[in-house]
Amino acid sequence: MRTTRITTLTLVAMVALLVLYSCSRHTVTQTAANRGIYHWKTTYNPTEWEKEWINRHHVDRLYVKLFEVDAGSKHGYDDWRMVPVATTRFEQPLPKETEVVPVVYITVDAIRAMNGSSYETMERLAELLVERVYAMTEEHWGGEVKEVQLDCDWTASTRYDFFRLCRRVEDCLNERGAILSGTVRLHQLKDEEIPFDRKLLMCYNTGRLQDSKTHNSILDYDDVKPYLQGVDSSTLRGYDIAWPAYGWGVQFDAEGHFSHLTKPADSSNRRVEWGEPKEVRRVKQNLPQMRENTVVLYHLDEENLKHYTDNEIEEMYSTRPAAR
Amino acid sequence: MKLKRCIALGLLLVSHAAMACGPYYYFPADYRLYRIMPAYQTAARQSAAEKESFADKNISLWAKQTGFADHKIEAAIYKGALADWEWMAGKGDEASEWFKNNLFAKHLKQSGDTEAIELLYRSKLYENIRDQMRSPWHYNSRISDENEQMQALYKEVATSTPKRHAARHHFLLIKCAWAAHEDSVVLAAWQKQKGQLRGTIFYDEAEDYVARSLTRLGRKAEADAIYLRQGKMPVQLDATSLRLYPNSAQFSGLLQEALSNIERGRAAKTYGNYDEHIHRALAKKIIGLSQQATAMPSVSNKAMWRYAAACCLDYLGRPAEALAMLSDAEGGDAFLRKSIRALTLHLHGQVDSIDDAFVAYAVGEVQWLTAEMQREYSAMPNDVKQQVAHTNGTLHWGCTDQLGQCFALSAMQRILLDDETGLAYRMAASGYGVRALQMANVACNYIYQMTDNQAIKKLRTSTDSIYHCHYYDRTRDCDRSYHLASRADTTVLPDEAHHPYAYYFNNNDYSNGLFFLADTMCAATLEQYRQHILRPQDKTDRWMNAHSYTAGDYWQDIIGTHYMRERNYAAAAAHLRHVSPEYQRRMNLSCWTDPFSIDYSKPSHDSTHYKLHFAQRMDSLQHAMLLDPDADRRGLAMLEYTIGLENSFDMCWWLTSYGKSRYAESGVWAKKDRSPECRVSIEGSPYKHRADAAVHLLRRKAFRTLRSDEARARYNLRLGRYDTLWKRYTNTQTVQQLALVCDKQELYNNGSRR
Repeated sequence: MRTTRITTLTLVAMVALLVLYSCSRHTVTQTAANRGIYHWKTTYNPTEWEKEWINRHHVDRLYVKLFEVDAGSKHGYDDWRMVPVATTRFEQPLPKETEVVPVVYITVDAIRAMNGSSYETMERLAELLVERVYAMTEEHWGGEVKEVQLDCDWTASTRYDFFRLCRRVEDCLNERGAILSGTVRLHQLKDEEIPFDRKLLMCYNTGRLQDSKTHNSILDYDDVKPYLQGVDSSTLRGYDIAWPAYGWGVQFDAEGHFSHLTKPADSSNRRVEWGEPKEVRRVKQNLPQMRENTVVLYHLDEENLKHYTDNEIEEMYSTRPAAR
Repeated sequence: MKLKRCIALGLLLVSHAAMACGPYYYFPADYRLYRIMPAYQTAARQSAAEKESFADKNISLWAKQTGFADHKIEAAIYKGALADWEWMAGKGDEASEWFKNNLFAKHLKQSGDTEAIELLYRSKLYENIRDQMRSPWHYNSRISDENEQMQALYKEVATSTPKRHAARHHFLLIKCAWAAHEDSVVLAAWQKQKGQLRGTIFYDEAEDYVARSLTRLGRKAEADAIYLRQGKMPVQLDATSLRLYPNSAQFSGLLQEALSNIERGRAAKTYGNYDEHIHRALAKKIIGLSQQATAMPSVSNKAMWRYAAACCLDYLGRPAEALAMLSDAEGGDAFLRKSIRALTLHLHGQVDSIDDAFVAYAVGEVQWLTAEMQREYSAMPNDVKQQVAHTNGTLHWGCTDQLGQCFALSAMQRILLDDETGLAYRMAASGYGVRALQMANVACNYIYQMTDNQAIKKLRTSTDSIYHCHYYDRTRDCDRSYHLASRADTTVLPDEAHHPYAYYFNNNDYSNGLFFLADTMCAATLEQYRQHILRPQDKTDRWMNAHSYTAGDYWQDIIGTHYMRERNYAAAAAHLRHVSPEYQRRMNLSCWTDPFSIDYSKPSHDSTHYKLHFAQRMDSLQHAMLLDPDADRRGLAMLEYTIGLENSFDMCWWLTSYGKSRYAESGVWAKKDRSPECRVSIEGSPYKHRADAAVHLLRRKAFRTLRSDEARARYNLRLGRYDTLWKRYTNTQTVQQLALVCDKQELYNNGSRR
């Protein structure tokens, strides 16, 4: 009798341990975020090094900018409020084994051109945008599009029209079984009505590039800090997050006015900026707890990525703050 | 009501494209100065014009072959829809009645000329597919519907055998093969059929497609040889084109297009221009090309090249060199001469020192531009006049037709009020604030007079010009005060518009360049300007006043508000008491909170003279905190003053500014490169910084000034510091009385409210 009880207890304990173990494994799987990287060039022609880099860091999501949308009047199309421009040229097919998230960058001018447009116009343009995304992905990838991302630096004056467009795009995508995702810049973070199915917090380009006194416009925790006031875990729930893995040189003219951007290695640069891993670490440490679905780096470029060690890249991809 | 307005606006958008531009935001950088021609023509438009001439030749040929009148043939071939031709070819059931009755179509149908019918049907189908492919949204993938359709058509055409219309057939085959990306077929067909095509109107056209295929195959030299032989070498902004066609009329269009792109890029800098390096490279290229052009004896319109180079130099921030470039820019047509004169003012405005002589010159040029505005407006056709009147000549996105219509107005805005180079800002900084305001006022407001206030009259009679503004709930987070036109008659405005939280706005008075300029000035300068309005000192003052918006209510309110941000409450009250109650009611400013409350939700019942009463109270508090012999009263007055002061820059921002934005950042005041709602926000301004510092110091000083515990208790009560009150001042009358009203101790333990 006693033996039976012991056996039963042992069995129960073993089952409980097994359940606990499987739960813990399950939790680990859930919290391990996908890894993504942006491709933001006008020609898709990754080098062997870049392809190897993707494999080495287990990147499973490729965010590819397909085209930009700009105001039609800027490109001689008086009868189109907005038109696609800067369409990416594909010199290689997109990798079949990687999930591709098509990205469309929408300029502020395009949104301003949509100002006052009717529902029908907005709906038609949304359909055209989605059709074009599907035509391009079908031609160059062939996989099933699960998510399309819109990127736009909307502000108070363009917010309404951009959201209108997003809702129409979302309808078109949902009909095709895909979802709409969108980038959220820090200054947009507290907006409670962002209409994306999935949001990605863009943690770069945080400072004033054109200000000669700026220390690092790509990422500086001091620039990020004010935007995080009042932001808690609930605000960031379900967000993806993007970190900078690039650099540039900032040129100023004789009077100290911003002139243009160059490659970081250019010797005439007055200010060289990189997305610094230590700044990423600082921001991560001060972000409220968030379970990112995907951690994305910007962007796939051999010259830029070679600036970082594998450890630094791994640290940026990690979802937990590094030890202080 | 809203639905009706949406439908009305929708109809307006559909019915008249040029009027369909909806509400807009005023951005000084949006105005354009670089203009070679009144309404620029793009290369695409020129090419469309060339195509039209081929259509004429084609119609004439059909007329010669069939004996029908040109217009009948044109209607059937070019205006008939695809459905009409499907019906003709026996592939569709129905055609439009007019098509069936068209003599040429009728003749074809009755004649049973299947070869001609098939040819015309396929040509129509080709055009139809090409139209879809020409859409900027079309993505040219092999698997696109359009490409598949074109492939099918090409195969159909390739397998048919022509007899009487062989030349037309071969031309169609070459077009279809080209559109279907069958470049080798194009070249083979050309080699085989060019003998038959020679001497026909189709030869050059077909050869043009051959050149395009050669280009696509990377055989550019062979393609250029064809273009050169045809005299159709596409003129580009490069040295080769300049050498081959030094006086090509296309240069003016190409230069204008490039300058417009550069200037648009310059404006886009405000919101992050990713193409700046491209625009800079383009500007440098134009400068180099212009130098070549001006050195070539064969180039006749040197003024145009010099002007283009000067614009580019200006864009690159080299105004002195631009002026030197313009000094020899003689000749050109009347429009170009006007552009050169305007650009000269703009450049002098950046280079010259601002003194009396310069200001006199600038005044003269503003008067000239104003006269030009009148001339341009008088010369406009009535429908364009109406558009300009409706929109006040403002630049609307997507309405490029208007770009060329109001050059003088656009140039004046850009020269005077641009964020980076605005002459008015430079004049103000050099001590000519009043003249700067006068000139800005003319630039922004003379259009109302010139158009007989049509935009305002429209406001009076309908809601067309008041657009729905879908913003946030202002009761929670006042993003921006959208004021109704101070000039509008309120009696017929929709009820909603009167509501303090109404979501309606216009850009007439509180979001234009004059207002932005005035917003950066101190109250004393604005008051000085008001004196020039009331008592003109010279002829220029009288001219400026006659061409400006000088309404007392408008200026008194602005001056009073500026005095409040400078904390000169006596002066503020002196101006605000002259702002009529009617005017105050017309502004949809939501002054809904009691400015002396620390409770955000305590509403104000002060519907009229809200600002005036605040100024008067603050003035009396200023006196009391300095002069009252009783220390406790002095201290409490000080505290009261700090509450009012803090609120006037924060939750009651309308007392010191005309907008607040959740997007305003620290330092936004100094940078003028943000959207209007940030631009007029007091957030980040030195006034707010000073007020914050004063609140901090005075509040501590107030407490130190107090002598009795009773007064200290009242101090803490006023700030909602119930815990301190309860712990330290239990025996005061203030706490005893509070306990009578509320005996729930936990309420006192909630900690400090501030």
